[in-house]
Parts: sequence; structure tokens; C-alpha cells
Amino acid sequence: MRHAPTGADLLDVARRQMLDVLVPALPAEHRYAALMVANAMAIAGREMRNGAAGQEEELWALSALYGEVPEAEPGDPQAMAQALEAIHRQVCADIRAGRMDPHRPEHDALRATLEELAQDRVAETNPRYLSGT
Amino acid sequence: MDQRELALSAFVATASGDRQARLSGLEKLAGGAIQENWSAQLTLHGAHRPVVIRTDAPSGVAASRTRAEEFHLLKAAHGAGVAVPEPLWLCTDPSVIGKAFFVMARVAGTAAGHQVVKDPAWGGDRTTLAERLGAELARIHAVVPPRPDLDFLGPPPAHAALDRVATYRDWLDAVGRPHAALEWGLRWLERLAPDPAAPVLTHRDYRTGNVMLDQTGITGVLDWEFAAWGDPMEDLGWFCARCWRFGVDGLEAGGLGARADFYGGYASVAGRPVDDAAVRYWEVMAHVRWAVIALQQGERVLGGGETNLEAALTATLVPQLELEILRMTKES
Repeated sequence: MRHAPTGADLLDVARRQMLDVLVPALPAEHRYAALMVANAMAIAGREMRNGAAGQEEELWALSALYGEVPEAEPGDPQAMAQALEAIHRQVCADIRAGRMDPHRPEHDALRATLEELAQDRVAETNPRYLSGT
Repeated sequence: MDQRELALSAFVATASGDRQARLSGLEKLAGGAIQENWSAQLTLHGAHRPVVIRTDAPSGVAASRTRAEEFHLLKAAHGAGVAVPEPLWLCTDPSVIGKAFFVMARVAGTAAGHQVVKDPAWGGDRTTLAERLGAELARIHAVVPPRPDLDFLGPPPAHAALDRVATYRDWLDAVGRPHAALEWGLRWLERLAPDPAAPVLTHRDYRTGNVMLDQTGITGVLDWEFAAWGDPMEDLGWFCARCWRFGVDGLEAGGLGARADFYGGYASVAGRPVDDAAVRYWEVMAHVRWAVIALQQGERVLGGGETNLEAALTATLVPQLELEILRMTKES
């Protein structure tokens, strides 16, 4: 087994070192690039901490729209990813074909589900965006 | 004086009719993956004037408009009284510096979005600035087809909104991965597309970050490479969209001013009030467009093995654009 510090911990410490020590020492023209690196590390760290838990929830939430229960085993990441992609393709095709328009009973639930999923992703990519709204 | 300055000076002397005219002090300006900009000093009829020489970058990234087309767009805008860097001379003869270029006046100030929204010293009084931003846009929209000088723009789309929906669907399909929130936005845009408006010249990248400001106001509208015939409300939507407020969300006109002042300035030149519902429609379109472009940026990193952190991080904006699309399209 791996022992602490975990990969996510290391990313955090490395990022702090970068921002506190390296960025102030850099010439102005390289600071923007260094801040981008720090931002990329922060996003990667948040994704690592969340792990695959979000994927499972996503699959269940989208399957529920079709009144289905997913068959993919949570322990099998590859099957999980495939099932997730398949249901996303289904949702996309249904939206484009007008099968999720307002007259359909799934319309409101789909929008609400997609909003929740987007919110979960923003919590990883840019949590500050959520506090601003 | 180096070879390039000699060649440019000879060109300017011929183009201007002043045999003493010259270009000196060439200096490459930062930024621009598609274009390359050089600042220089123009001496014309004994007077000095700062200018910019705009040409293609060596990378040869496929641009949507050639430099010649951009020059004609600037000419049209300048002729319509839009604040743009005055276009001076176009050279399509590759024997001068090896590629086409044009010379334009150099306008003072800064365009940097994050900087101008944070520092009220830029752009002067913010009420006046928001009105001015609206007024400039209305002047662009006063350019209408047919225009033989702009024939490279092709015929106007029969239905600009549905035309955009089809284009962004194609782009999304080319990216290849399913994006349900963007499909959702596109279907909403398709269902609720407003009746087509009479086509006008649209800038299609009119936003904070592409308008040069000094301490008193607007000095120049930049970046004309996406200009096309279209629905005028598309430009107002792009300008007001939350994704172009650079974090200053409370100021709905590009993070710089109040929406009402921006609309007021537009209406004062256009001679008709702004249809707020139409602008809001095009704000959804703006988020979809930016999200698809951001996905394409991510593809550059994933597909080609290109190490471009900025492009990779641009792709991480997609979830917040999707969130905004889903919130804006909530019906009932």
C-alpha cells in the first residue's frame, strides 16, 4: 500500500512551494506561466481527492432518468467509464432529436441533473466560481 | 537601418506618394499566435507618427481572415466612424518582406481584460464608457450588405442563429466526446431561435479584452478576424455574457459598466431600443460558442501532444460555461 503523503498531498505542498518561494523570485514575464502551473496543480489535486466516486454518482443519476439501474460494477473502472460514455451519448442523441424538449416529462429532471453534474465539475476546476454565484 | 526597414520604407514612400517617407525603429510586439505585430515610427511629410505593421506569424496557423481582408474590414469600420486604428496601406506583394502586411496607426492604452476591469483609471468615467461601448458597436452595425469591398465575407446567412447552431454542432461532433450540457444549450437555441434580423456587419469578438482603452475612453476596437454578416444582437450578447466579464460579474456590460448604459449608448446611435430578450438569447449562444472553442483548445493538447498549458487550462473553463448555460436555459 502507499503511505502518506499521498500524491494529492505532494501536489499541495509543491504548489505552495511554487507560489511562496518560486513565483516571487521569477522575473515578471514568467510569473503568468508559473501561476498557470499552480492552477493546473490545484485542479489535479482536487480531482485526485475526489477519485472515482463522482463517476459512480453520475452514472446512477443519468440512468435514473431512464428508469434504469446501471449494470457496471463500481469496482471495474474500465466498465464504469464505458457505461458512462454510453449513457452520455444516449442523453446527447435524445436532446438533439428533441426527445428531451419541455413537453417531455424528463425535461426538468434532466436539466437539474446536468446542472448538478456541472456544479460538481466546477467544484474541481474552479470552486471560486461557485462562491461567486 | 536594416534590410526590412529599407524595404518597408520604400514601400511606404511609393504607397504614400511622399518620396521621403520612411519606417524606422521596428520592434516586435508581444503576443499573437496567428498574427505578428511590429511597432514602428512612420515619418510622413516630415511628421512622425507611431504605427503598427501587422503580418502573419511564421507558425502559419490557419486564420479565419487574411491580412488583406482584415485591412478592408478596418477600412469599412473606419469609414463608418468606428474607433479603430486607422488603416494606412496594404501590401500583398510578398517580395517586400516575404508575406502580406498592412500598416495601421498605433493607438495608445491597453486592452488587457483583467487589468481594465480592476483598475477604474482605464476607460474614464464608467457610465460614459459603457455608453461609448454601445455606441461604437451600433456604428459597426451600420455597415450593411451589399458591400463590394467586403465581398470576401460571402452572402449573409439566411438565419444567423440557426446557422451558428449548425456550425457549433459540427464543431462539437468533430471534438467527438459527448457533452450533454452543450447539446442541451444547442437544442434550446434551436427551439427558441428568434426570427432572423436584417443582416449587418458583426464583429463577433467584441468584448472586454479586444477594445483598447486609455485614461479617458476608447482608443480602438481591435481583432477583426472573426467579422461576418450576422444578427446585430449576437455582438451585444457576446459583450454582455458573464464569461467575458473577467470576474466582475456585477457589471453586466463586460465587467466595465451597467447593462442599461451599454444598451442606452447602442440605442442612441442605432435609433431603436435594444431588445433585451434577444441579447439574453445570444448570451446563451456566447457561452456555447466559447465552450466549444475551449474544447477545441483542449484537443490541441490531447491530440497533437502539444505542450500548451494555456490551451489545456482553457479547456478546464468548460464546466463553468456549461453550468451557466444550464442555469440560463431553465424554463417555467
